[in-house]
Amino acid sequence: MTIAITSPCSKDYNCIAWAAEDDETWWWPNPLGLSFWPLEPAGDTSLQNFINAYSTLGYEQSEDAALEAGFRKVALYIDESNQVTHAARQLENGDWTSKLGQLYDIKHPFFEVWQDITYGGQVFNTAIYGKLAVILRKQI
Amino acid sequence: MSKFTVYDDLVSLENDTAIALDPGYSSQGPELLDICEHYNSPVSRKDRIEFSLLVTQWEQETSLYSSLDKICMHPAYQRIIGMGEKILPLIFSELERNPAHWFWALSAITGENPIQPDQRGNLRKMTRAWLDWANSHGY
Repeated sequence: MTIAITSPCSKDYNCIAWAAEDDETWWWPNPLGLSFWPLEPAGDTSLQNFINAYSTLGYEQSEDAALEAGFRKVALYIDESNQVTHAARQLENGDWTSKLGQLYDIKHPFFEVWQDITYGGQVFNTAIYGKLAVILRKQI
Repeated sequence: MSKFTVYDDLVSLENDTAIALDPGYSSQGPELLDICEHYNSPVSRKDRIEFSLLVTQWEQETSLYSSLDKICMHPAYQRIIGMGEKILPLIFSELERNPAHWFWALSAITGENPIQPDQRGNLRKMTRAWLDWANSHGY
């Protein structure tokens, strides 16, 4: 499968929101209240805080990224400091969708480790998203 | 990360080139000045140019981040915060023209936060809250 850009650029929402099926809000734990977070207090950028946030939507930890009938899956990625960098969501056909920061949504294969992406002659330095930390799933 | 230094009459770039601030000196000059002319504020020409270059650098180097921490801790963004209250008119102009995550900088410079809990994360509502604050405070 190839990578495809599937939306215009937007600063209205980020990858964490997009994985939660929200395209109107910037999700990030910020102690100053400058972004949305479903938990109070917002907490830090640890993996556990993000797992807890998605649990408010019904997500629980899953064993793998395989397509399972009746479940939606989210992948969380971390950097070398174990801080969450990125989230992706599985589509109904088994492809994955990600919001690239303040840029586009893309459709892509499942990544264990992100590498830079070249698309239409442009290079996106998505290697900064690091490696897979956990797969979550919820019943749909 | 690209680096630059703003002098009274030119911008010195990391690659040993310079952009003269008089449009007659460089083909890049008029474009740079056009950007600066967008801002109708009493801020000095040097500050306007430095702000414009820092904004461009910040946008280019943080476009892939979802982390608000990484976006707002970027050196160019922090340098804008360091420019202090004098730069507020330019931030409000930029916020109105191209809404982005200026809220951390605005809170850091003013010590205020007009964003209500139900507006958190909504770029348009947070932008409106800050532009209303700017209007009510004479900006």
